[in-house]
Amino acid sequence: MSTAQAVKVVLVEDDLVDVKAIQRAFATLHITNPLYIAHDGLEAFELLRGSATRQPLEKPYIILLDLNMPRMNGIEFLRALRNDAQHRETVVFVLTTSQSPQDIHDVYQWNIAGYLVKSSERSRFLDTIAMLRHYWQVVELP
Amino acid sequence: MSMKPARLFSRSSQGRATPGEYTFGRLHFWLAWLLPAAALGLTLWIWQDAATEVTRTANERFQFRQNEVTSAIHGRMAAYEQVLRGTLGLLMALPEASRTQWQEYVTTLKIDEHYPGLQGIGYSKWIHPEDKEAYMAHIRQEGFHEFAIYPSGIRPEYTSITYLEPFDQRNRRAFGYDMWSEHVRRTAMAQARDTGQTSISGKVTLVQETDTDVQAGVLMYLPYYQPGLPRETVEERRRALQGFVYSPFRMRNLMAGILGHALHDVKLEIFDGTELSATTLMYDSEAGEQPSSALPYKALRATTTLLINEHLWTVRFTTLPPFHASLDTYRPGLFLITGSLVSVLCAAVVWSFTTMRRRATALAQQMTLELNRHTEALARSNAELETFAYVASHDLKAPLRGIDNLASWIEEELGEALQGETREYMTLLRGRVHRLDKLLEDLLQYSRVGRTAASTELVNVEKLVADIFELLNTQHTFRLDFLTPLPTFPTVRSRLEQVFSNLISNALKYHDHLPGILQVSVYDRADFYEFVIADNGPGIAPAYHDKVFQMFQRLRARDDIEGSGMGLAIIKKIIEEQGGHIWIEYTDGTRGATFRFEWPKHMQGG
Repeated sequence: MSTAQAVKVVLVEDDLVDVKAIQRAFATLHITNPLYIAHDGLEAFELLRGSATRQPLEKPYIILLDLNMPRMNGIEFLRALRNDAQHRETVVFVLTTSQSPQDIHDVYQWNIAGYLVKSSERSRFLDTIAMLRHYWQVVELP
Repeated sequence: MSMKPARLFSRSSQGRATPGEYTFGRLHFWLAWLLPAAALGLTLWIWQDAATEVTRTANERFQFRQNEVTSAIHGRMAAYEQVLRGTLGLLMALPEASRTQWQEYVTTLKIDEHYPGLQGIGYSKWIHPEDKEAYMAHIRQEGFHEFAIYPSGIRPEYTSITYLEPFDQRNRRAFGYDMWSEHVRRTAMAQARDTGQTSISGKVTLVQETDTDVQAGVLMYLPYYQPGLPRETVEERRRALQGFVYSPFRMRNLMAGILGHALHDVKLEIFDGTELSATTLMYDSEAGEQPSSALPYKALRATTTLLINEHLWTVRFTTLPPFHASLDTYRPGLFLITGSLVSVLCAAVVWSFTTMRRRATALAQQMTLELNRHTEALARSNAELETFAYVASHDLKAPLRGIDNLASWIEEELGEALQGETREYMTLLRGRVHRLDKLLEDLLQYSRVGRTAASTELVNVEKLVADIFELLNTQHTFRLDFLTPLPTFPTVRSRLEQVFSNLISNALKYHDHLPGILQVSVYDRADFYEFVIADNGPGIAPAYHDKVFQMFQRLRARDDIEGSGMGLAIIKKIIEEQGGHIWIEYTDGTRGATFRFEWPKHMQGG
């Protein structure tokens, strides 16, 4: 069990249905950790760094990142994240459809925690989410 | 990643050859032209050689002719001199020889027969003025009543032609002629008198000449001295002179006699003395002859002098057409022409080769340019396809996944509320989504066939097939038999696996009743293996043997047995990309389907 604060989950995903899938999975698994949605990389940065209207997001949090997004896609977000001194240590799981070895290789260059492929099969998807919960429950986050 | 297309003649495609290619091409070019040049050179050499040969032969033959003629003339004149000597001998022996005796002597000689050209043999008596009348009276007494020395007139000395045999019409004209009165004759006679040797006169017109057949004449003199008197010195000789034994010669007859008909290819001109002119010309072998209308030729000409009895004749030889005709003068020309033709032929061949080569090179360059263009276009379309595949994979599948999720959530939410028809609709909906997903997946696979880099490894095909069968035969309701052992050889595992996988999966999927038996065998076909998979299923009607390999083709209703219809199309593409062939063995409607396909023993590229 991590320290007092519950781990926040930042989901960077533009597809509404995929967002709902995560939400439903959380519901099914009774995951109560706060889930923040950013629809692309820029929104995610606003979340992390804060904006005129809100404070920067307090740690601990992990990021679930989709690769295919408009404006700033996953790779660009990762690059910017790792170049940001304040946020470079953030734990990122890539959760995406692409099984392309090239994509996997490229993404791992940015020190992600894991590359997870979205599965249509419900049980497998739930397993993946359960694994994630287990992760943030066990691992000490920065 | 797609493969980079191979580029051929990359530098030539820019229009310029590589330096190595350039120098070689140039060298080749000049070497090739060396051949006709050499042929031409050889021709010229042979031609020149032949021409020289012809000239040499001509000169030799000409020289030979000249020698022939000059020695003939010398010989004959010497012979005729002997005749005169013989006659002189007669006179020495018979100083008082009568006309009749003289006649007989000469007749015996048969000069017409043996000494052609010799007009006659005569005796010219030296007459002192005081003896002139007595002499003429003596002759008249013989019966020649009209006889007189002519030309008439007073002269310090006289000679008179006393005898001249044969005494024919022409010779009779000379009877009584005083040769001493004529300058040319006198010169010769004086020479003979003073030297005691035979002399030849210059060109004269004999008194024998009439109007017809006028010829130049020449006279030969031999001095007759009084026997017993000294004749060592000129003075003594003059004092001792009695007369002259002489012979007139008509030049044409003389030369005809000497030459016979031998001289048909060389023109002979005899000039009196050293001056070559119409006045000194005594004999022309071509006089009266029509100038030949033969081909123009370069006549050879030579002049030589004959000294006959201290008298100079100039002889000029000129070659005639028959001379040159016999000389093979055509040979050099022939060599030149044929040699030139050969050289031209060589040149033409070389030219056509170089042109062909140039044209072939140009064609090759053009073709490789086009090939490169096509390859580029191909690469471009491949890249486009790759992009399309990627797009299809992600952007098409994403909403599909969304639909599937939403459908399942609706199902979840409704739970028991989903009844009857609506429930069936939902099931069908989910089914359609899965089908579309599978279709997309298969389409992607199809597009990727042959474009992924393939690695060759040693594959135990029997084990591969057995493993695939194990994986698919989950219900253990089928049996696999190997009719022949399957080979182990280096090939692309993944591709072969896909083919067997699809075929075995189909066999299992479409079987209608158990037990199901699969029979696998192989035949060695030199460069290929021919694999055979036979099942005892319902079989495929012959009408569909080609159709099943087409994209999206199914023989069963979509909702009966699931399938995208791409499986066979995909493996057909795989097999054909490798130069092989897949087909269904012909059946006449009986059960069982047998698939046969060719798989290369050696992978290209790899």
